[in-house]
Order: sequence, then structure tokens, then C-alpha cells
Amino acid sequence: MAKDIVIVDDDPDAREILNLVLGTLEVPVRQAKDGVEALELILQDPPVLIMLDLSMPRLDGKGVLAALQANPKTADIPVLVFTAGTVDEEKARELGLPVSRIMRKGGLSMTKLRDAVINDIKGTVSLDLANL
Amino acid sequence: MAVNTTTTSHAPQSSAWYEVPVKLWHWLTDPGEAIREPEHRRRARLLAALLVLLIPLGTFGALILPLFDPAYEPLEDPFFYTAAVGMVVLIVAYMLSRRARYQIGAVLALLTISVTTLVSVAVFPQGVNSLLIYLVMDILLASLLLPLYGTVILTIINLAAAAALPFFVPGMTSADVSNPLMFVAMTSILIIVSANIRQQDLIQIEQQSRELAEAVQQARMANQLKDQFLATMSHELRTPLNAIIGFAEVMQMGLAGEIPPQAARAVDRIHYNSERLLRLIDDILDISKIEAGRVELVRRPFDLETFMANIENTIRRQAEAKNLTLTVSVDSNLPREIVGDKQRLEQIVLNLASNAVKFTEQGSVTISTRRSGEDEWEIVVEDTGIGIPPHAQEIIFEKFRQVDGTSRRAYGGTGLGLAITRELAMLMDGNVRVKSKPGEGSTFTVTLPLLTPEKEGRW
Repeated sequence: MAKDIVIVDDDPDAREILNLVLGTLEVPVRQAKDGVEALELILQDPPVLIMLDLSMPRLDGKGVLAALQANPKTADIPVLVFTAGTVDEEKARELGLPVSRIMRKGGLSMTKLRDAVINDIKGTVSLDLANL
Repeated sequence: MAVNTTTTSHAPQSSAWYEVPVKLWHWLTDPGEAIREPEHRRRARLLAALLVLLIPLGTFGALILPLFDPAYEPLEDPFFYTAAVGMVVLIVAYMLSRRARYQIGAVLALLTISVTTLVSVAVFPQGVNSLLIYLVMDILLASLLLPLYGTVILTIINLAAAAALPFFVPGMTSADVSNPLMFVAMTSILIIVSANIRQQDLIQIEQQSRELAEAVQQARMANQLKDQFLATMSHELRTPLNAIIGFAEVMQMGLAGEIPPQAARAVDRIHYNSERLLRLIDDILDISKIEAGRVELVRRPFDLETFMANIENTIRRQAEAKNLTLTVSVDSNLPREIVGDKQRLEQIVLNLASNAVKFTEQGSVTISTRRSGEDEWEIVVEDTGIGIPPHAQEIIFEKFRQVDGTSRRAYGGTGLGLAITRELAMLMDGNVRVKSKPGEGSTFTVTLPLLTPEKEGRW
């Protein structure tokens, strides 16, 4: 398992922002610009966390989630979902995720986001960081 | 089970004579495609079937006569036989009409009335006057059941058969039938003319309803396109705005390198204003969705205390930042579980509560629930803030209106929050009222119908 994070978003600006936020954590990052590319990257080498946009060309976030959940190799990777739309229980049910795993773009603060990421990967990566 | 399957599968080959009536019965009473029948047809058929079953009581009085006249010998009366045969045929015809073969049933029923009427006249020539009336009834029913040409054909058959009666019935002259026949002919013409007019009307109505259905279809498609446009637009507007907000935040966090203090202030303003713009876009989309009736409320039971606790959690930080006392309470007279749209209700209360915090410099904000009646409850948001002058207490619920132009700049907000709040409350069959005194504070009361899982039954 690669000790990195995969960022999936069709908007290069959105990817860059996440990249900048994660930059301070010194965790390697791979980027994908749609769902198909994302699945290729993830299956090649499963990351410790996936940051996934919902609306994307070719294969959207919902499709990526379904593919991840169906594959035992990837079903346990934590995913943070980002959406430009509203976040509610309806949407969470549709995606099969707890509401807390869905973040609203724009409305979220970067500090909070970084805390969430740290919380997600500290079990798998901090050990690795410590060994470095 | 196995025995059962073999008998049924072999039944067609070895159909014994006694199975025939059973099969016939199944065939006749199977509703089949009758369900797909249009509404007006079904209604007409039912009406006709009722009339058809009522007529025998008159035409075939012989059937009920034994009940009233003990001296009556039905088996010696020829009417009794026509009556019995007529009844059977009519019931079969009615059953046929329950199936998709409804017009076969109608023709059968109508011809039965014709034949039994004419046979009755032949057996009982003195009754020709009153008996021929049933031919009129026959044609009237035909006009309700059959297309116009069917009615015309039946009329011709009936009139021709009645006119031919003198040739077959001994002792009957054409003078005997001419008067009743004239009556039948005249009324038949009236019936056919009125049926023709009705048919024209029906064609016109059908044409109109087709046009209407097309218009509705088009409107629905246009609506769908608009929905899609709104959804796309909202996404297209948000994507660049999210990038602006995101980069501003990244700069504020110093992740893009050190920035000089003056630039830092500029970044703050970029961040603040782009977030305001994002909220405005959200609110505009929200209110246009509500106003177009495209917001569908869900009705699910939720726990009232958890609901209020969530609100308290969200507001507490805002209130503490301004050193305000926040009190949240739940009326114990209210049921634990309430049915409603939790998300939208939360939007209402959070809107009012954050307004209260925003417009209060010192003192307290109180959020409470109250049972105000058997089927009614209220959420009350009270503050000790700047208050609202009487003349402004209505306009604050209008779009883009705040007490005065300067307050928007001083307090922020999109000017849509209270409009959305009221629209949502009204969508829930409730309302929002305000009571306020400038300088003392404001009280916003949301009144809602009280729905509980027990009352809703199916939850």
C-alpha cells in the first residue's frame, strides 16, 4: 500500500488548493482529473486516503465510490467526498457514506479540512513519518 | 402440488362436458383488459348495464309476478319463457361488457331487448302500444353504448322488424302498429340527433384535452430544462468561486508563502466577499426553487431534543464569540418525536437564531419550543438586540429588504434569509411572526402543525 493520498477533481484549481493544504503534511499526493483516471491510480497502488469530487466527466464520484466499495482491495480505504452542492442526509444515504465524510466545497475551512485529513491518516502514515 | 399441475396442464385435451360451464364462467368473468378501458367508457357501460338490468323488471314482469299474484301460473305464460331467456342473455351480455369485449356485450343486450320486445308483441298483440316503447328504450341505450352508426343500424332493424309484425302475427293489421311505430320513429330521430351532437362535443373535448395534454407535456419539459439549467448554472458559478475562496484560505493559512500585512487584509476581504457571494448564490437558487414549487418536503420522524441540541451546538460558538447568553429549551408537553422535514426546519431555526446573534450586541438569545395547541407547536427565537421598528416588521420578510440599506453593509447577509424562512414555514403549512421593540429586542415565532408518528399512522 502506497503511503499517499489521491486527489480526484476535474477542476485543476481545486486540485491545486488541496495540494497546497496537504503540502504541509509532507504526505505524497497523486492527482486524477476524472473517475476513470482515479480508479486506475487507486488500483495500481491503493492510497491511504482518497479525496473525491462528486461531479466529474467520464465517471463521476458516485461511480468511483461504487467501484471502490465493490472491490475488496479498495473497500476499506477512507474517502472524503467533496461537493459543490448541498450536503444532507439524503445525499449521504445515496452515496452510502456517513454525512461526516461529505464536505461542502467553499463552505469548509482549510484548517478543519487539514484536521480531518490528519485524523484519517494518522493511523497509517504518522508511523511511517516517524520511521523517516 | 404435482397432481394439480398435471390435471391443469392436460385439461384442454380431456375437457369433460361438466368443465365447459366452469371454463365459460372463467372466460366471462375474467376482467382481462377491461382495466385499461378509458374512464368515460367504463362509466357509460356501468350506466347502461344498470339500465339493462332494470328493464327486465318492466318488459319481463312475468318474472316477478308470481311473487305478488298467487294465482299466476308462470309455466303456462309464454312471457315467462321470453323473460327467462332474456334475463340470461342480458346477464351474459353484462358479463361480456365487464371484459374488453364490451361492445359485443352491448350489441347482444340491445338485440335481446329488440327480439324479446317483438316476440312479446307477437304473443300479446293488444299490448303493442306499450310494448313498442321498449324499442325506444333500446335505441336510447344504443346511443349511450355504441358509436352513432351502430345506433342508426339498430334503429333501422327495430323499425323494419316492427313494421313487418302484421305479416307474421295473425289478426294484426298495419293500422294497429302504425301509431306506436310513428312514435318510435320520431323519438328515435330525436335520440340520434342528440347523440350526434354529443358525439361532436366529445370529439371536440377529446381534441381539446389532447391539445391540453400536449401543452402540459411541453411545460413540463420546459420546466425540466430550467431545472437542469439551474443545476448546471449553480455548478458553473460555484466552481470558480470555490477556487477563489480556496486560494484565499490557502493564502490566509500562509501555505502560499509569507504575505505582507496590507496584502493579508486584502486577502481577508477577498475571502469574506467571495463567501458572501457564494451564500447569495445558494440563497437565490434556494428561493427560486421554493417559489417555483420545486422544493419537496420530506416527512420523517425526528427526535426533537437531538434536533435542538444540534442547533445549540451550531449557534453556541457564534453566541460565545459575542459574549451572549444562549438558552435552548424544549417544552416537555411536546412529544419526543415529531414528523417533518428536519433539514428544512433546521434551516429555518438556524436562520432565525444566527440573525438573533448577529443583531444582538449584549444580553441573551433564547431558543425555545412550545406546544401552543392540540395540533400546533411553536419555535420561538428571542433576542435582546437592536430590534426592528414597527414600519419595517413586514418588509423584513421581503426579498432583498433589510431595515435600511446601511444595515446590510453593517451586518452582512444576503437579504434573502427571512424570505426563505417564511416561504419554507408556509410550505410546511406554518407561519413566522415577529414582535419587536427597537432597542429592546425581537421575538420571532414559527408556528407549525404538530405531526407525530402516531398521528401519521404509517410511520
